[in-house]
Amino acid sequence: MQPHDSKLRLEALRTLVAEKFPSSPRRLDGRLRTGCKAFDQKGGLLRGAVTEVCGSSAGGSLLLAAVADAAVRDGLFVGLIDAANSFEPSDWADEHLRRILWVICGAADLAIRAADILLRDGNLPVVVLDLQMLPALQLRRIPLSTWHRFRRIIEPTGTVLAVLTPQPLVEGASARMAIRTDLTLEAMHLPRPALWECLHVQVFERGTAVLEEVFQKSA
Amino acid sequence: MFGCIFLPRFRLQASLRWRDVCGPAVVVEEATLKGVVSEVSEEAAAKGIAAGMTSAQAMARERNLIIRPRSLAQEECLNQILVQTALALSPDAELCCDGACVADLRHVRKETCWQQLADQQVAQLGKHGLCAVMGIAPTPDLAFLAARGAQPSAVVYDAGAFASRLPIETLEPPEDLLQILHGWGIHHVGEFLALPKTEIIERLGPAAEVLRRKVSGRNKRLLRLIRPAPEYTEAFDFDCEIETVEPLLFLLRRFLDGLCGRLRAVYRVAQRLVLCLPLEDGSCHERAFCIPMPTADVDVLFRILNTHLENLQLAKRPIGVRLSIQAALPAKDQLRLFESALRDPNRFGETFAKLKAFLGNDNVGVPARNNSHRPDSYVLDDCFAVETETEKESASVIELPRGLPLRRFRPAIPSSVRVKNGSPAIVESPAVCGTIRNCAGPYRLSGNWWDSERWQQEEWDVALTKGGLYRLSRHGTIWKIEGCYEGMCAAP
Repeated sequence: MQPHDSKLRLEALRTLVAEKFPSSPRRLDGRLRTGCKAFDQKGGLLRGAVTEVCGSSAGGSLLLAAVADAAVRDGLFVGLIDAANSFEPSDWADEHLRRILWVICGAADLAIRAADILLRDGNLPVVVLDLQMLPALQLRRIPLSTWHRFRRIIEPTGTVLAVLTPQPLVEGASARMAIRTDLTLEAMHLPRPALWECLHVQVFERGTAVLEEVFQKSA
Repeated sequence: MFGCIFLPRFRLQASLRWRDVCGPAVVVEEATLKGVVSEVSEEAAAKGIAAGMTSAQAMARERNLIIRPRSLAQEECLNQILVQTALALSPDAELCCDGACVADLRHVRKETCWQQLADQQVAQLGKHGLCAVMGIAPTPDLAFLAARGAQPSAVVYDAGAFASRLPIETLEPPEDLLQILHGWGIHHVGEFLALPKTEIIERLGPAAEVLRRKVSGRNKRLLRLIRPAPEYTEAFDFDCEIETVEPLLFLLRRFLDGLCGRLRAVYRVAQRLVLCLPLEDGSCHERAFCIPMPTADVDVLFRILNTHLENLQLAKRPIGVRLSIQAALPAKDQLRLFESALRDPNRFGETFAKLKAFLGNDNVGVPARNNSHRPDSYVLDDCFAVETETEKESASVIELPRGLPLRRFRPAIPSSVRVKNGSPAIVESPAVCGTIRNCAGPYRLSGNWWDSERWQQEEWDVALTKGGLYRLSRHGTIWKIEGCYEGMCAAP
């Protein structure tokens, strides 16, 4: 094959692709700064990507608190898909509550379906899928393809999807945050910003091997 | 000048609206064979059928006669359309009777062509599937008389000349007065007006004066004004119960086409939709939809109804459908440069409805505290509240609650707690068990002591030796784990 021919064929292929796919999905990059140093120093939450936040339940709650605070600051609305129906409104400020759409599910499959509906809508810039209080049996039944689908849905919209899990679970998450806390009963009297300082966050961009080691150590 | 829009054969038009009916048709007062015919179509009249006959008599004259009962819901809708059409011409309008509406046109621009105006109104009502006529005359009563004889529009410039040609019956005089006038050989209004005024009133009484006023070109009586209702309605009664959603969707789409056209004509948008389905057992399924961003877009409104009907299950079959739209002025809010609101509020409204249909009405919403200290007491609002300027300013300084947010177990987990020195020492339950390292409490709560729903409980925050922070509650001798602050466990 002559180099000239290959160049022409490449041009033809490019033209064909351009005709078939006139506009590729627009990817909205950027990160949501939560105001919590522990998260923000690690880069914050990715827009248009799935961020898995796994670890202690207190870590998940405090991340949600930081996201709600950022929502009030930036005038955003947050979708909270509460898979285990464990959200307690009385522990939140009214300003935060006004910014949260609470979706009570009670089971993993319902939560995934609700997340699908909410993400396809694309109106809410931040969606938190809280799977932390669900039994491991239910979590294992979530098909891995779900996460890839979610990723494809939110890529063009720039939605922040934070999935709170007890163990690494989300296949193909763009970023994983492992949260550890050493909180005692004294924490019940501390203000939330002081509690954010107590979080130990490790970020893993891809892969789970290192993360699993961290969990084995913490266990 | 005054304009009167008139719907001839009003009851028949109302009854046959939204139906593909051809051939002779009549409308009866009752839906039985003994019902009395109240109005007849032109084809039926040509067959010798007249108002006042019984249905059986009418059927005897035409075998393929279509007999329809009155549709009060549709009559109401037609009156509403008439009123809205008249109010689009003038703010001063009167609904004279069913199917006739008079508008005061004295403030219309002087260069207006009356004939053109009348033709436009007739054509506009024709778009709604209505056969209307319009009369324009110097007085309201003459306009009404002109409309009744118009084909399809009539403009009266010379009141005397117009009135003199009218049969005396068109003035609808009392029966005894009509007989007297006929006895005198008076059959037209012109002959009646030629009689000396004072003497005729002395002989025939005030009824004669009323008749004279009706056709006088100078009697501009005051209109009984009607105020525009901010509601637009369409309704339909099915001949039999329906079992699938397709007929409903078909009709609703047509309703919305018409209603949104009417809204756009007066520069309004739909703020609220109310769908009402009368059921076969006499009950009614009613659902109101708040439109997140008021619009007159048919597709958006139809999607809202479609989403609801797709997931709707009724115990009984619907026998009709009624759709009302509450109108509002279009929103004029302009977003600020860095303000992030919902991208498409109407689409979000649909998503909200989908989530509600999927998870239940009580499982989706914006949480808010209840006016009570009772644990696990909250309310869910339907949509995000619009923040006022004061709230936006106050939101910049938030008083954050202290401590970790609780993750509540719903329902609370019954547990066995051993108490040592007045404090919980060991907790045992299917989900959580262990020795308590330290605890905080008791936090005593009570409420509603003034009524039968009194409640009282004691709460403890505990830290287990093996790790984990939990909230325990005690109701008398019963202990429960209310939730966890920190822990790797899942609710059982």
